[in-house]
Amino acid sequence: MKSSWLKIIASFFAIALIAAACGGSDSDSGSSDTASSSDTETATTEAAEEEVIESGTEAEGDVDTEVEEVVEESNYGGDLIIGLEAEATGLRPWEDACSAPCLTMVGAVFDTVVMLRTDGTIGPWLATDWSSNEDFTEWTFNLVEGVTFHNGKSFTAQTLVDMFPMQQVGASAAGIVTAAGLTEVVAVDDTTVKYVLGSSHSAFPSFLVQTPLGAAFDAEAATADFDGYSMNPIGTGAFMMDKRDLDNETIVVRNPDYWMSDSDGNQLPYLDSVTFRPIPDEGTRLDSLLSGTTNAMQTLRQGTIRDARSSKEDGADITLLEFQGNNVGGGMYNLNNPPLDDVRVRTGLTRMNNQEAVIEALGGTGISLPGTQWFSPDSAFYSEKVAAAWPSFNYDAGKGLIYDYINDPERSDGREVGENIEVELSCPPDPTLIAAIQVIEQLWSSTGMIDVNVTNYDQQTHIGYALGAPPDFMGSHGAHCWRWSSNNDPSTELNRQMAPHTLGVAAAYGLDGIFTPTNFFNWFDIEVFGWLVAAIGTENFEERYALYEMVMMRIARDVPMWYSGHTATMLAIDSNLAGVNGWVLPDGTFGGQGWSTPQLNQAFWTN
Amino acid sequence: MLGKVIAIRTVRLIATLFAVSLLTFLMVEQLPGDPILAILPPEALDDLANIERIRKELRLDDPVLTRYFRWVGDALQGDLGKSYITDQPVSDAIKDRIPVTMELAFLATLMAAVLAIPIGAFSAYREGGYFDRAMSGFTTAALSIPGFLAGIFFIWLFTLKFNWLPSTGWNRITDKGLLANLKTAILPSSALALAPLAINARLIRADMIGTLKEDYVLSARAKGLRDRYILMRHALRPSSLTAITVFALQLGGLIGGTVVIETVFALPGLGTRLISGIYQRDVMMIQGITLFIATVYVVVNAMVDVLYVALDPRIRRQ
Amino acid sequence: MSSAVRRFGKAFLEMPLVVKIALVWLLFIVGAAIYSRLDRIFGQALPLQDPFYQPFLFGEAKPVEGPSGAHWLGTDVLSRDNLSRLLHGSWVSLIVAATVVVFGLVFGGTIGAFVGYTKGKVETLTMATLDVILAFPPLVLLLALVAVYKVRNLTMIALVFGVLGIPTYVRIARASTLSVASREFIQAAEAIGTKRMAILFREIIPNIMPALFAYALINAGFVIVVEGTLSYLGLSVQIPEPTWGNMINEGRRDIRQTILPIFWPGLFLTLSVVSLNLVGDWLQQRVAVRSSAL
Repeated sequence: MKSSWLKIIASFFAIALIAAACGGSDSDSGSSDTASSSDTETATTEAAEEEVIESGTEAEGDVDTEVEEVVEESNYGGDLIIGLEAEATGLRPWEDACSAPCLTMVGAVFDTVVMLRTDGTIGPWLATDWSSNEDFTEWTFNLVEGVTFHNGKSFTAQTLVDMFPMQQVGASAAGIVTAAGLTEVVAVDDTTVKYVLGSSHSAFPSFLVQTPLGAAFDAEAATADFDGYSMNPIGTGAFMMDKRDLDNETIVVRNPDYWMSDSDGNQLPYLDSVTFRPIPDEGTRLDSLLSGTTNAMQTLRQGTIRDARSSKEDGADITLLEFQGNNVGGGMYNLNNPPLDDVRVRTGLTRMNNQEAVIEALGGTGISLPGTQWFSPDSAFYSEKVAAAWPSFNYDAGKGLIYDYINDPERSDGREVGENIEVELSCPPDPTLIAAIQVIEQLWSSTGMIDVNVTNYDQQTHIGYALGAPPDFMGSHGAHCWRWSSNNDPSTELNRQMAPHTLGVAAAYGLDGIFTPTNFFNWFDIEVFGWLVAAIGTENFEERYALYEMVMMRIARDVPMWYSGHTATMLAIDSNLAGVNGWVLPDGTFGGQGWSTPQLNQAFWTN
Repeated sequence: MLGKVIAIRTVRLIATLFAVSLLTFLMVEQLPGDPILAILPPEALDDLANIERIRKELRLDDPVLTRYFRWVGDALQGDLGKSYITDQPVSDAIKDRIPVTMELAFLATLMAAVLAIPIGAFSAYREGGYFDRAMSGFTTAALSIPGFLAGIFFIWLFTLKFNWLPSTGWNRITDKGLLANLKTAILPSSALALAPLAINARLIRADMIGTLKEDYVLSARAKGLRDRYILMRHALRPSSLTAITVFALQLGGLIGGTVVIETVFALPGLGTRLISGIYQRDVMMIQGITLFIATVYVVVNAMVDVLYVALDPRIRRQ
Repeated sequence: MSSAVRRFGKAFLEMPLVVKIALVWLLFIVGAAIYSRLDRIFGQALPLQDPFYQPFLFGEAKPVEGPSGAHWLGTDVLSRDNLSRLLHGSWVSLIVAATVVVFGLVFGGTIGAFVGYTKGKVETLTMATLDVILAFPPLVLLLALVAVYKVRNLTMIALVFGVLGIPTYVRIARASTLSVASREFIQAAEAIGTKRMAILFREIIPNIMPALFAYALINAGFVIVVEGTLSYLGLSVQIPEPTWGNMINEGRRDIRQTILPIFWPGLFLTLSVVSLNLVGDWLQQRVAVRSSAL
């Protein structure tokens, strides 16, 4: 049995890795710490070269021709043990909040209607093709035939229709239903389904990539045992739930009736079973891989990537698959909270953010790229213009702005002229963020003009604090750690976060009823809102690019958050394992999400 | 006499448990933040009607006491509610995790007891000798090292340096057999056993020093019986009574003590769930597990009290 | 005053060598803790580095340095001075332990002596209330309590520990009071009509104090461990304030870069608890000998 295309994925990511390494060296040029950064640089390039050799490509181009020559045997059978960052809170796509570790499990058990391609466009999966009407309010999808759930039931258009009422009230799907403006799902015939929207959305299929809306589940079984579905989920995916022992291990086994085959007609998946083990401690997770207790691990932490790289240099037999996700970490300011309502303070604080140092403190020098916008340099929406306009690190300029503010008799926080400003700085107690927050605290309080109160609440309180309470959702946070963006369409996130933050604001602009608690900045700009609405009214990329660039320019001017680098993620795997880092779509194109969520339905052991 | 002791103890036990449940409920009730924020992801919060529906469903707006009595009433029937985050019934979560926590506590108690007897006995036998002095240093250190530090050290030594044992994960006896299970249980329970081991060794030593000076031991020696025989037969036996009660008490204490060790080793026990419940603001989970641990602790202690009275003739006579 | 010094000097000379070393270590920690705060008050006037200062941010140093003349115990991944952070951390341990001891001796001792001496309904009620608090394993109760607070500063943590520590002191004080109250000199005082409150404060409390103080030393060691554990879980005094426990917690992430930020606080923590146990044990034996000689 031969499988030619899996190699293409490997090659693709090897190239991405080179790109990342190059990007890393660019970022180092401004650093005073030349000795150590050049070390890392060399190490990175070496690692990248090894990757290339293993993948059988010698140059960046020629991927297609190369694949004809390099053919890797893929085998059936074998078990895989993956170390995940955390236990999933639940596996019901429409109901449970799901992050990377959870998505790994959900992805093994469920299929989504469509899938992301590596370039960020949307490709076929359960749906073969789709089209919309003129104004993007009706989307019709043709579905694959002969797909069955693990319980033997057939997947049809009616399945998606039956899911909809549960998604409308589902804890995690309801918000997406609202954001998409989805009002109705209609089964045209067994293999044709129509999604009807209340307003135009040119990027609607992007919502069906997300598991809350796009993952196919058996609504009847889910209604019969709503709570139990989390422990015993039934999907159409490549693997079926075998055993779920919370906080210890979750085992899924091969679905013998899986609908998908590889390009040579071999039925997927290759693996017999996969075991997921939540190992919260980063060091322990890496040790488990190195000692062979697990065969693969994921991480979102730069420090762990650094440690894994040095283990590999020391001879560990592992393959490192690194991703520069289209996601950026940092923090934001709440405009409801003086003095953060003054743009001088916001810009001044951001100016003082020594991003290079923060990245170094996080262990990410040469691993994470510094951020200037929500899009990473690999993204199609990345803009040089925004990068140039961004208030980058300039300590004295930042101090100057704060100095201006505290000596302004009209200062908004009601304090005496010359008195220090007070800022609450809050991050969740994650080990990496604990380092980051202390760096920022030190940078700010070293000015002698800023009293910084550091707080760190658990993740849940942290989010709740920024949200505020119903019905107004006026968060009481100050400067607040956060992450933004994904490889998915920008509209899925931006449109929500930039909508009116209260019903009052909405009414003032004649946008009655349009409001979101997820506008954490408590900042509303009607122009930005207009651009974002315009961007989902067109499919033309140039137009959309220009609109998102304008939005980012305005953010850089008015609400510049501080960045601590783009999120570098990594899958470290046993070097005999292949096919976990991306997927081939039914149309032969390559999929991936630039994130360390292992893909299992096409993974195999090479020996 | 014993019957009366048991009766009094039982009444007090019930009163204490009632107060414990009220305290647990009120304490956790004070957690900041609207539980609705823990229940729903941020993206789902713009649907105010949905929020209302969930508030009604969970009856979050009832007065505190109404909710308390409903909770205790359900708890008496074995229903501790369900997690706000995962929708898993709290009693199911506890049921899954009891074996892990209990095994750790039991193994630690066992190790502490079995190792303490020879250490204590031999130290007493050669009181003031090299072994005695070395062991006295060891017990002082073992008593002083915090459990989490011992855990980190064990992981560093046995996993990172020697790679003998896994630092994380739990093999259930039912799935993987006893040997595989012990491989995952030995490090955490050793870290847990240090302090009780030190206490036991000291107790046994002190007790035996006293016994060795009793007349009947001296006469046995005079009769020319072998030292080891005397040590096991004559000296150890009278000491075992105190020891048993101490061991039992430790078992109760360790059920609470596993919390940190489970976290260090990332084991699927009650403690890990409690801590992650705290991090997630999972009110029902925190209340349920705290109540459960406290109940076990109180009941074990009460049973030890009764056992002590039943076993010790001196107390019974009083 | 001079007689007290002489008595202490005599006692010190009678100590075995290890106990002497332990006592010296404890005095060192107390001194270091106070010194670190003086340093904060006088603003770097004393030769100790700022525990928060991260020179690498301003291009003045690189993170993670080994021990050197400038940094005796090395620096951490944020290029902060390990020694200075350790000493500042000892203040947190000291304050929490001291609060528990003071609360225990003052409130626990008084309440225990009072209920033990007067007996009756008050005693039953007090002991029943304490049973409820003692029904929780200490760490579990603390976890449930501290989780309630949004901001965890030293004052709040010390108070929670102090209040929760009282019940065991009450128990011990009550037990010793029961035995002291049956002694002849108490009965004699009662016979000549001395007021009960006067007996309580002049005879009973001074007599139970040595035993209670010996327990307090050992208890202080336990408190330091529990605070360290809570800190390690990130649930005690918050960053950026250094504590021994949160240094270990922070250091675990970068254990492959430098083990020093874990090693030093681990060592300090263990040595301090060992010392408290040694001194406490020694004192307990002395008290036991004394009271049996009475």
